[in-house]
Amino acid sequence: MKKYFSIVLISIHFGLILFSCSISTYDNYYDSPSNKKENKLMQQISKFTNSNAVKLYGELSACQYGFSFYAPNVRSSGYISFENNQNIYYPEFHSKEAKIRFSVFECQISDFLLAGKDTLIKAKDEIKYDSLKSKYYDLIYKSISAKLFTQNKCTDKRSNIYYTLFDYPSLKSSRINKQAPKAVKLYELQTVLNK
Amino acid sequence: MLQQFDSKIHWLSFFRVSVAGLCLFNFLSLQADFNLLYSNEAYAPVSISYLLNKSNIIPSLIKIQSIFSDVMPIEYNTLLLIFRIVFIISLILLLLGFYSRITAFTSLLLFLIFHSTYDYYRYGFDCFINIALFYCFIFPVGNYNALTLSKKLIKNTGKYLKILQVHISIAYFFCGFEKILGINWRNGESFWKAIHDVNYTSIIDLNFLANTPFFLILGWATIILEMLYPIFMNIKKTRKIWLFGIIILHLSIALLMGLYFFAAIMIALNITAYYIPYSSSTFDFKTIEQIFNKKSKVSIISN
Repeated sequence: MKKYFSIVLISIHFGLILFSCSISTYDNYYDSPSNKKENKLMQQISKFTNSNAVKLYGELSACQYGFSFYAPNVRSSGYISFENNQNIYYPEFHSKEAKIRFSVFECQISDFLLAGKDTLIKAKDEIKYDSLKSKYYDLIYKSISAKLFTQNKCTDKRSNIYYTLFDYPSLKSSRINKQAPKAVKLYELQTVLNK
Repeated sequence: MLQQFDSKIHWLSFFRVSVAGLCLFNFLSLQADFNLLYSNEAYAPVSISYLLNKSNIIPSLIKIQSIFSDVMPIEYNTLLLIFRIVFIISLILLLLGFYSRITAFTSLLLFLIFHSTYDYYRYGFDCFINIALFYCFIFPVGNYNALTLSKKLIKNTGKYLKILQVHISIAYFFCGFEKILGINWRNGESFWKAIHDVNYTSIIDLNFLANTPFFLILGWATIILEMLYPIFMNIKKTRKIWLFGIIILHLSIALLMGLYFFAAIMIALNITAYYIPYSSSTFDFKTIEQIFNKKSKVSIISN
């Protein structure tokens, strides 16, 4: 009896892992919501994996994560910079690990800014959510601005904060002619400090 | 505390020590920047950044603070300090094997609460630590080489090993399968882009190889190693060569992208699942004791 019980539990465990991985692969393959085809099977699986009991077990055992590291393509990344009195500052950390974790956060900003360009093909509730998200990121920029201002003992009350996408030339173009990496400013916000 | 090392069962103690050790080192490496990342004085203060968190099943530190606010009002930074201390202690106890099941569960719970609060800093390393801590709670990792040994010794650890092997195999297969779906992994562009990411630091400059098929081969080698992992790691004849390839892959992730902790946990999981249980070595700690005892006797006599 005990043996059968453990077989059932193990089957559920691996079933959940396979479900989550399939959903993640499907989502990443049709990465834009407009490209996503109506697939009833995937909808049913998503419904099941989004129930509270499955979600709780999924979080405890990490079953709900797909394994799409750097797939299907490597994401673009960028960085936050702050300008005050013609000096440029960046969020700085002592350890490399802290820098990597902050860059994960920065990557989410670049994903949002790049996806924001497709607003025409988005549903109404998605646009509403995006406008909320952009307000949220505005708050984040302002808070980073304030932190860098005090950290670097800036004097000029007017400052700018930027989000810059780092665009390294592709392998194909590097073969043809040597190009310098491009920095594309995706976002700019002017802040004025009120004391 | 130390018993005869039998690789067929002691992979469990290696698993416990490597997982707890890596999680502890990772957490300690963040201590110098802890306030800049996690406190209310961080670049992205938790009170703002927490708003868009996806997880809501596991309570976050902010939720815990609000639940206890009526009974025991506590400042967020104080709660965070308590959390830091308890988490470090819990991981040290797990590493030493002190009531392993309880400390594994405590470590897993604290880990989940922390990442429920700071979901936006989570990356691949955390995903595999989460999996490993869950298995530390389920598997009898406190049975061997632990401070407090379980009363009931489980000698057949085969089914636990199979569970770990299947999970890792699924992970690698889907990793490779998703890569093959993207054209940029098939023409080498993704590898090129990954090593030139502005946020990663490579210690080797490979730009001089741009005009060679190096990146194309590397892209395909990654896909093949990952997608065929479940087959070739489970065939006795090919296991060692495939393991060698996978370790080289993770070492290059560490050297070319600077993701040291991610590479370390992946190597540790591979060694746990596919090297230690199949290595024929048995090692008796008592023989070391005897050698030391003999040596000390000789030195006393010679004096």
